[in-house]
Amino acid sequence: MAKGADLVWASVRAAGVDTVFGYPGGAVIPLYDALEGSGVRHILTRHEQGAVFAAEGWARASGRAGVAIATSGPGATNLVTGIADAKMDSVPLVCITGQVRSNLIGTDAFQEIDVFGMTLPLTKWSCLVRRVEEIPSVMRRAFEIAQSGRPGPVLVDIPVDLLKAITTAEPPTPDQFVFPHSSASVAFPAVALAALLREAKKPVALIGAGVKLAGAEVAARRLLDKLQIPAGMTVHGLGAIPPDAAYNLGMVGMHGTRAANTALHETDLLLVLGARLDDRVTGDPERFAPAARIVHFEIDAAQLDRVRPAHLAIVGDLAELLPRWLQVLDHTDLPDWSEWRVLACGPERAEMEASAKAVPALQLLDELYALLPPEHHVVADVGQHQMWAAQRYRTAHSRGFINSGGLGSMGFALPAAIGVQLAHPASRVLCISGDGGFQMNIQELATVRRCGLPLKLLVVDNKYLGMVRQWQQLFYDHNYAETDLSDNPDFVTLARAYGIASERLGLDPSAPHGLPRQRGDVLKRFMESDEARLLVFECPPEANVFPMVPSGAALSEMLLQEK
Amino acid sequence: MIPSAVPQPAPSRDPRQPRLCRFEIHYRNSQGTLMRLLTTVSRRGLDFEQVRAEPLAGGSASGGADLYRLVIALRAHSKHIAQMCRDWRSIVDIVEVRQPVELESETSVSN
Repeated sequence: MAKGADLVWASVRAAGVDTVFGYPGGAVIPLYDALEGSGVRHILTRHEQGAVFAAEGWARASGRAGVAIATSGPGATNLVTGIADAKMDSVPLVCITGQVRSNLIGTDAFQEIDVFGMTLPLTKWSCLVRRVEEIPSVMRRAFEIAQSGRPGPVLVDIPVDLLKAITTAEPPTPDQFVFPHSSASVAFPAVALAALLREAKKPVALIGAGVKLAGAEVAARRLLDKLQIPAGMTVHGLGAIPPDAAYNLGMVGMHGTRAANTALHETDLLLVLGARLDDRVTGDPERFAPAARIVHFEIDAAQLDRVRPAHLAIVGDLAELLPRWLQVLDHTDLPDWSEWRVLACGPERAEMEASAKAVPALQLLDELYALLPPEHHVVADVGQHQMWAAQRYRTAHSRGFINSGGLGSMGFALPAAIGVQLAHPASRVLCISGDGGFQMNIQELATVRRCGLPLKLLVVDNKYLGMVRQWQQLFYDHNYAETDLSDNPDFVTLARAYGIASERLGLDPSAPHGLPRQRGDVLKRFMESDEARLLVFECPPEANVFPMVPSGAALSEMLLQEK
Repeated sequence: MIPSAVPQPAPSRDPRQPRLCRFEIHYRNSQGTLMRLLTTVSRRGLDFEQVRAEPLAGGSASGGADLYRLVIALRAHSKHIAQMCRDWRSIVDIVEVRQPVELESETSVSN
């Protein structure tokens, strides 16, 4: 005999998940009552949004499904942004919400909300449990769907009376949570691909998150080593290409490198590996890669032709498709694209050096990244600092750069970094936030302290909502409407109030890059401490992110600097 | 290989112009599946001309849930049609998305 709550925890353990994130409330008290002895470690955050972002961080870093728990009503609605975030970025996530008693559903009871209905467009699958006996099978299906195909969020809503109910249903076992892997059954279009490659004069590869989600980084690198064609990465593809590879174009898109965007604009054959081609990557979709035939490798057929029709679409798991292609390529004569590769990739390096001199934040990031050990993660929030952090992230650590790329959720980084650190306790986790986003989940400093996590928390404080201000400057005639945050609190004092050591790094206009000459000790103290530390960097208020492709413009119309 | 499998309505006069089309989708009648199908349309700001959901005669699927048929008529341009068909196919418990049929006139909707 077991209670419904026991079956929930047994399912979580059977799924191989040992850490969950949540926040108690009336409708989940029975779940928390059964927590002790379940074998599951629960991380109490200080807000449900913190819990769901932490679960996302855990999932993104571990590759396994993250679990977030909230009560009914406001607890459930506070999960919604994280659920949407997981959908956009293909993160496996299982959200468990308590619901009011079964006989009160539909009565507008206290803390009753239709979270099932509310999240239908955001979840891959969801279920309002109606009988306690269903819990093991519902949980099994939830984990299977969250992790299969294109990963994503699922939601299980359980009325509180079912969590308390006693049943004879057997707790699930781990072997019931081993899910069959569906392999690609289509014939691989080797001949068609070879023909396209032979006709191409300027082929380019685009590496997206799908390569990492499939665990196909090694195969992708072998492919690029073989093809030797220019290759760019989306913000979620960063780290998939070795930074020193001759074919590395860097990041593509709105704040991508000039080399990458120029190559995408000029290419006549674009090989898209696990990328959705969203508007931040393509710019104006009508003028994206205008001369290119597109070969689109994608696990989710729903993503094909969404922006641009593919000349050749190949649906399947890259971990299976790329090795199959490599086998064929070993017996295929390919053109020599070295002249095109050198032309396309050449400007990239010069651009990196020039931009570092112009923006102090870039120089600071370079110096912090240089202090990262091989086992590390960088978690960025959303805004200018995110793009700076992405532009400077130059490692071959394929899961090392984590951010909210699709939904662009401010407040993501701090709780996500908590999840990342818990998934990889030995990793050096650098969390980079702006002053706006940091305050959206600042309460999670208490979770950092409570869990004793050695996070390195960098706040890039320009006292503005910087990216919005940049758009206001460039496209709205400097009308900085409601983006001024000059009345920010003292983050150093605030962090200390949470028990986190903290210091400030100001600017020195007389020094190269505008950074104080004696900063070395500050940065080392920050990065090498075994405890959590916060560093507030006083960023020039009107520093901008370049290159920039204005919204609705073609990639070829990127701005390289202020006019 | 997807391109040949993507449902496309009959060739149209102007692909940018919305056309009245009839869609038929077969699905397992599990919680929320019908609503997921419908929000695929509503998220694009499209209006329904007709919606009908009913059990498929003799239809019962593996997994326990009964098989249902959803018939939708709405005006959409070809890009939306292709996107919606792909989105529908990616929903859990969808069994079949049939080839959309372009309707000749308003009166066809009720037929």
